[in-house]
Amino acid sequence: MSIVREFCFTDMFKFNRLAWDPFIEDYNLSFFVTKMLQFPMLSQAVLAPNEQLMGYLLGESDKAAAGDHQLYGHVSVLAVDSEYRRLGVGSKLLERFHQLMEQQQKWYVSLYVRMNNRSAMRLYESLGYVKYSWLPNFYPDDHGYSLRLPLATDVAGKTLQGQQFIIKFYFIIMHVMLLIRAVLKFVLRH
Amino acid sequence: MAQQQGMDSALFERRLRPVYDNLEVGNNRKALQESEKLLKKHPSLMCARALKGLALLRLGRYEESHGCLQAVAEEKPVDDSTLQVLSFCYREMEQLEKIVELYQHAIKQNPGNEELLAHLFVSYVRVEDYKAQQAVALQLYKAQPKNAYYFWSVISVVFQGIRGPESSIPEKRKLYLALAQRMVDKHIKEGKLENEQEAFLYLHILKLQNKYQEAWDFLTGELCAKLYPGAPVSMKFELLKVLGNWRELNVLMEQLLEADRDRWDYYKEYLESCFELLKAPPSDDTMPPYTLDNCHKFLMQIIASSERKTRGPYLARLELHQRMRAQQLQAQKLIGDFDELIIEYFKLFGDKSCCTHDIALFLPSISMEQRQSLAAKLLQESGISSTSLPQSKEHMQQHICALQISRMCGVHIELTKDHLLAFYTALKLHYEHGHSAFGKQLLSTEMGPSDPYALLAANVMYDLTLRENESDYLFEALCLLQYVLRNSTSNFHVKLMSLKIYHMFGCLLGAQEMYDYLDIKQIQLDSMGYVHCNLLPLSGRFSGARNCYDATLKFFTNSYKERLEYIALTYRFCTFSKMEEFMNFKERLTNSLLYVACSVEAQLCDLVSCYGNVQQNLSAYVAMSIEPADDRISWNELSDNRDLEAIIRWDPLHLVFGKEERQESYDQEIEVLQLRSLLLRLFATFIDLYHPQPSAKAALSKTKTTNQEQGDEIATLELLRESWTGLHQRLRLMNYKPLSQRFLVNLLPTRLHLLLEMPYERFFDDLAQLVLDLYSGSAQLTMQCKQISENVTKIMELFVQTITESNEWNGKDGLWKRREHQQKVAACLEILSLYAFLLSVLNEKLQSCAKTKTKKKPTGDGKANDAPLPISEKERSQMVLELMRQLKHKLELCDATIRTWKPPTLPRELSSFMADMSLKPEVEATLIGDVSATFKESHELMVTELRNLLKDKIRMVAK
Repeated sequence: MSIVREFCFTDMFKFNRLAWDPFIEDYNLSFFVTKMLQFPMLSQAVLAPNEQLMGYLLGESDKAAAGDHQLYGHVSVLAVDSEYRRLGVGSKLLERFHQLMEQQQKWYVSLYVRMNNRSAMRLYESLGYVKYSWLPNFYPDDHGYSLRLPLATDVAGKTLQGQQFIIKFYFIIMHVMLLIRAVLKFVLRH
Repeated sequence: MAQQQGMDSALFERRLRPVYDNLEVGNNRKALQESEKLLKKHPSLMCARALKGLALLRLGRYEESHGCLQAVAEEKPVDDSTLQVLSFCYREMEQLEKIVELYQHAIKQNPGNEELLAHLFVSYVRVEDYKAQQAVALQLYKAQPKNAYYFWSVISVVFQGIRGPESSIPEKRKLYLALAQRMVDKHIKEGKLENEQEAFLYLHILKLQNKYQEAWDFLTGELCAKLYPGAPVSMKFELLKVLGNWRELNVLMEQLLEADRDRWDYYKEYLESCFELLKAPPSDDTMPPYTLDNCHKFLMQIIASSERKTRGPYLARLELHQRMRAQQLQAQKLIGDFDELIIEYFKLFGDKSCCTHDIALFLPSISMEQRQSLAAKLLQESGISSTSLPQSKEHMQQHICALQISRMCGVHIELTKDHLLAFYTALKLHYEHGHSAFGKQLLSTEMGPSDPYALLAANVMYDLTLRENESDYLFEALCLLQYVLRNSTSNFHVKLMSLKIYHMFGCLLGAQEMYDYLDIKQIQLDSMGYVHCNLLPLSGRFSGARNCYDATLKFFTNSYKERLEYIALTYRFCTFSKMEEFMNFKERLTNSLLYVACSVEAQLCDLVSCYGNVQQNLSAYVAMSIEPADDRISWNELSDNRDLEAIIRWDPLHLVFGKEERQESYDQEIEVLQLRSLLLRLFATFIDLYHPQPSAKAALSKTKTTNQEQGDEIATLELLRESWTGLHQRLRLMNYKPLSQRFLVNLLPTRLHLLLEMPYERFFDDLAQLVLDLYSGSAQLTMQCKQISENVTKIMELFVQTITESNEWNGKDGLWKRREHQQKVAACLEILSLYAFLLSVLNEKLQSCAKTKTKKKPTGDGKANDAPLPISEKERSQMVLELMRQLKHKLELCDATIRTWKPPTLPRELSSFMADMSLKPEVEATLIGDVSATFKESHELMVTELRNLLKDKIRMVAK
């Protein structure tokens, strides 16, 4: 049960409950402002009947001229208040964004997620997102994945072709990385 | 210049690179050297000179930088890189008009240059000169017929109509908007409209002129569908609403709802259209008159045909019920019993945490009796009594929801003390049960499912504390919250509530811990600053507070410069739909009350805690660049950006007056800011009279101008002194009531009453007289000195009395009055510290004067002749020394007293606490021990800090 509208600047004075979610990055003001100014129609907020902010999504899309290049949309932030979880707020926001991207005939939608954010992963996978690559130390305290959702334009599933094999072996890679880091530290210290 | 232009620009670019690189990484000294090296070879290279200016600016060598930049600007540069560097410097110095001049000159030499014109346009955007913007945009369009430029001029015309200086004149506004519309009309006719933002702008212009029908026609037309397919449907129904086309709206909403059954905004519009149709007279005979039956049927059909249960139609039915009752219509007959509907809703959605908020929407429409009986029914429905426990997570959530609603209905508030205590115990038990049964496998990022029990328990304990005038209950609640926080580290509700309780009890260390734990950053510093930053002034710690202000102020100053560039960005992206909104947002940030208050408090804090020698302190003071003569605060534009809803509450709806309380606290905060900024300015005039600001100092050699300037200083001082007493008089008459402390979540009292109660007014009024008398050598000086020293004694006595009282309270209730006592002590010290600083300045000045006087006797004699026997400078100096001696003595007494200040005694017997929890005695002991240690440590830190302050001041006045 919700009100859907464009995310507006003054919402930032009221999104504290969402900003305190440990999985939500603390983006600075310029992040929000540039996204909102550049892609005004792609940011949305969902409000509860008492006008509390339930969740919001900031999106972007590349505006480059077509060609062989695969145009895509990107979900920059998706946040849902913990009191309003499991009500379909997140999927509603994403579905609307996918619709817009379909309208603009993009090839796929991409986003990044923390490796530990299991409930978010569940949501994305239920909507058809696929792990595209593994991003070691992408977050200050966690590794991340890049996920992709092919859209209708991408009939042959081309956008998933570059999918990196390391996803399957990420543990090996991670351990190698850790080892290298330890060695480097050791070398630097001596 | 010609020679320079002729040279190979690539070569110069390569040579300039090291300067740019060094500036970029912040190595300003090296950048300066590099630029000087380059200038030795090519002394006329303008860009290098501009970069030198920038490096100097960054190094804080303002005078040199200014000269350097001025010289370059006077040569009216035209090359892009020089202009960029110069405009960057001016932006940093906030001299935005100079950028405009810069590009104006450049354009004159290079008319029609697209790039320069675009820069000129943006420079007008920064100073918000819409008229000039329009002219430049048209020139741009002529030079290069791009749609963007055309619409830059359109939006500039719109802004002249709605934001510019003439926007307040209705005729002018009309004229501008009509012009803007004609401009777009013409473009449409020529088939040149290209994208959605342009379509949006056109719609916006039509709506601004109340031309709703035209807007409707355009919105539903072919062109708009092509250009702006993503137009929000809200645009459609808002237009239908203002056009009063209820039937069409009704049909549209039914269609929309069929497609998306969970949209509250759609239901609201739908219901409104139904009620409007009901009111409308049956216009033609073909249509039967509208009845709400249709509406109800529609909702029922949605409910029946939905596979997945969504809250939407159920809530809409409740809303229909509520609206019908408001109009004395037969709601019960059509829809059924209200309580039954709520219970049905509760059965369906009670296991979701949002259920409480949903039901709360409809509680105000029923009587108190009905609310309470409803609450009882819901509790019964949840199926949990004093002897049973929830069987699943969902079941528990239902119980929590029922409890939260009973509190909102005012059920708890009427219980007796014993009942409340029993209720608290039950809540604790439920918390612990829920935690051990359903909360064990949580991620560290999740909140415990049973945490709401504990939050509710804390609220109950606050009610008890308030009723019994005893802080023990709340202290116990604090321990409980701290326990919860260990289980559920990411629960910010618990952190916020603990922060509040720590502040209530004056435990700054605990508060700081919670604040750090909340990790408040970026824009949150503005919207949430009220929970901590705003409570720090006069809380008892000066340097601790200063660090906090710093973090907050940094956010504002850093983002201020960025904000200027964002506006340019809105034009670059042609985001017309966001321009107005962004400008308003930017203004709200710039005029944030918290920001202004923090900067004033930070300055006062610096003056209070300065600890160097007189010269060091004075240069620190000069660096603050307080200009007492002009009030820099735009009082009418201050903005309240607090997010008061961030803190969760379930207090009885009939006793919560959110809006009124917000306004009341805001009004008082503004008055506090008035007092504090006036105090700062008044105090600054005292110093300025004896130690003129550097700008005035330059003119010192000419005696006449000095006299004149000091005449001005005296006039300012007297004026501010008058405002000071006037303000106090007004505030006493206004008779503000302290903010209600009815519930835990309510805001803490503002400092207004403290500031009026403490002897600020009298002290600084008398001090003003002393400063004036000392300056003129008036005969009343001896009297005035006596007056001041009496005032100082009184403050010292107040200080001693407060601490004695605080120690006495320790026997009864160590926490009840703690905050109040700490504030009083801090206020006394603030007054005395400012006074000490002033005396040290006066002393230094008079002593050096007395010395120069003896050397230059003839001038001194000449002066003395035309004044009626002023007290000699030597005697004045003696008097100041005497005042310093007295102050030193009083400060020493204060120091001796503060050493006797005992940490708050805490309730040792928390026998009931944890008895019901599955805690081992060791865990209990460490938990309570940790909380107690925080209180003790906090007190010790404060005393140490205040004693250091006292020591510094004693040193300052020891001569």
